[in-house]
Amino acid sequence: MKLLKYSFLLILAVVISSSVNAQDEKADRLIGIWEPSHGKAKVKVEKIGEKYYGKIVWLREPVNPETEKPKVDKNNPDEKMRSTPLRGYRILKDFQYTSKNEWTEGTIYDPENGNTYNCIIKMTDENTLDIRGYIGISTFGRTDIWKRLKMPSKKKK
Amino acid sequence: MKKIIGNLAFVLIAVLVACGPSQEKTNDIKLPLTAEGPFFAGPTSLMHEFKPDLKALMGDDAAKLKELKLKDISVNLPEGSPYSWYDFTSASLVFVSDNSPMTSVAILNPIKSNGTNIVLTTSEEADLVEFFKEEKFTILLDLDFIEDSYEDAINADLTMNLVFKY
Amino acid sequence: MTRRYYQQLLFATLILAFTPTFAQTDTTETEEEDYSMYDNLEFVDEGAKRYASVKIKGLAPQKLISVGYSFQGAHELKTSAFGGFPASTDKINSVSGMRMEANIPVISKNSLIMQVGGRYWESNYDFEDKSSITNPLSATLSDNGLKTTGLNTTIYKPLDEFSFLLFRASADMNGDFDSDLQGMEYMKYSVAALWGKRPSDYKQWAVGLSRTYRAGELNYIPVILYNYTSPTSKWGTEILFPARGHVRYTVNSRNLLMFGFELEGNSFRIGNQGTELNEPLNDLEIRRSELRFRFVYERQLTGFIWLSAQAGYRYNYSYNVDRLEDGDEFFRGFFGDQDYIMENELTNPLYFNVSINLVSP
Repeated sequence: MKLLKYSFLLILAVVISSSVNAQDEKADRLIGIWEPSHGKAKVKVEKIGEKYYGKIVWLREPVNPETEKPKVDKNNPDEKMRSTPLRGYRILKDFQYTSKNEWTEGTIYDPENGNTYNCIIKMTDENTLDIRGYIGISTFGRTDIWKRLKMPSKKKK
Repeated sequence: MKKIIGNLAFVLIAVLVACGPSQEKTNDIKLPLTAEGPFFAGPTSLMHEFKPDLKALMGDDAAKLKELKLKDISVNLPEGSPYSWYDFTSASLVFVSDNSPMTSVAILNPIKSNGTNIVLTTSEEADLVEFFKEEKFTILLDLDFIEDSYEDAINADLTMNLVFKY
Repeated sequence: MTRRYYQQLLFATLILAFTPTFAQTDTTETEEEDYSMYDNLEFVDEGAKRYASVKIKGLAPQKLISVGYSFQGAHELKTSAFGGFPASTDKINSVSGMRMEANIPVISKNSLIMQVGGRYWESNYDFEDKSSITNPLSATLSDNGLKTTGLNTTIYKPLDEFSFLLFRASADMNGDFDSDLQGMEYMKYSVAALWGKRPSDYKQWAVGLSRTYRAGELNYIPVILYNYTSPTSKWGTEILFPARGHVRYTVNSRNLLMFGFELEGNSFRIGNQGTELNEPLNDLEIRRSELRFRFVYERQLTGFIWLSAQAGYRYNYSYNVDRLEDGDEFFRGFFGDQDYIMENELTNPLYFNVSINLVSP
């Protein structure tokens, strides 16, 4: 009888942990490299802790024509942080997975104007994201479509 | 009537106390940062998972913490490091946690140092109270490598001078 | 003992067999990156279709919700004689009132933007000597003022990365009505349709046709849109001719200055209230149109809340009056010879507008 009881409890624990693990796998589908529809940048999504972040890894125009130096975050509302390089800048921050192919509670930053927007990411298929940035309520926002890029092969030296 | 006056007096005193001038305490924290190589040209994140102990930092005033700012941040390459600051173009410090929004804390771009130490420009707007109230959070230092490097690891020491307002 | 041993063995086996391995996908510690490897990546399937963005760099932020106040200084209204009433000249201390507008994006994606909006504008006339008013036009302006309440929709449809269609339609109710409004037969409909190009992030232009009341009465006129920003992002133009045109100077990302003009106008039904105007003098409409030459200063207050302040010179283009029986519109255009029932003049004062705005991201 005791053996049955222990086995039942163990199987229950396994089922619960498996479903949590499956949830993690679904959430991790966001990890990868994505290109917004304007094609001016490529963004790599990573996981830090339990949240997801996206950083710029490529810019079509990486150099500021006025300064002839790599672009920096010149429109940041915090003046002290305006020299932060854009390559490597995390423009997607703090996203957490919900159970509906959505990542929420995050923000998206637009370096072109220094504005930060609330943001919802929806995965419409494995290689397509609807990224909706908005202010206040979702109505005051815009949806952009991001497409997945093939992961590059690493250089070996 | 006496009760009403008493209650009003209590409320007035409570308001005056709450609105009283805030006090400050400063403290230094030194932390190691590390990343595993090899490293390629571009930003690499050195990190440290930090478990703040407000009581150790502020003593009995820990519960009264209202605001926490970084006054000075410096990063030192330890003696014997294969790197010098000439190997990097920029350094950017970011705090990340599961319960607080990611916050950019300090930046130095470009890096111009002929010593082992650099001092970063701190953000005036970043308020770090919620990070230090958590059980743990991650400190990321993004160093922008000029060229590829094949070292096994890079280590750096971070010193933060914190101002606690309570 | 044996039974207990087997229980323990089975338990241990179950643990080993079923304990899941959690994938450690915290990626910060694992991968270093060679940033040059991102240069030539391919899409897994197809790239997203690219569309011409509705904006170019440097434009003044678009207002989603606006609450403001408009004020014109002292001027005179000279009315012509009509219907047995003599010509008159009345001094006006000021014309002022609230202006509220909303433009809500109901669809907002790369391939289509549709906004639906509404507005409410007031013009309250403060005559210098109300007791000496003899003209019923001045009387109703003094007693009731003029109001506009309207709905509009704007649709922006990009065709590809460089070209687009722009469509706007509005329905306005204008007059000296009170909370009872006025009949739907007096509604004024305007529409504009343009086709345009956006060759770069710094320029967009379009041409089209409009049915409009900006000149005070019904007109069909061509429309030209030309938005430009200099490569330094300091200077630019925002032109939607003939409705408005401005040169823009960007002080920084939170402050901008503009200089230019706007043609504001509509047809306002009068005689909604009181019995001063009976047949055959009812159903009169003021063909009101004014050119506002102005400086505009816009400044971010906080987040997406911006202040807009204008100051300038209000030039009266038309204040003539037609009779539209039951609101039946007729077309005069620029070359028609139908007579006005009144030909009035307004002198031209200075004016200012100030508004607080929620702007589009």
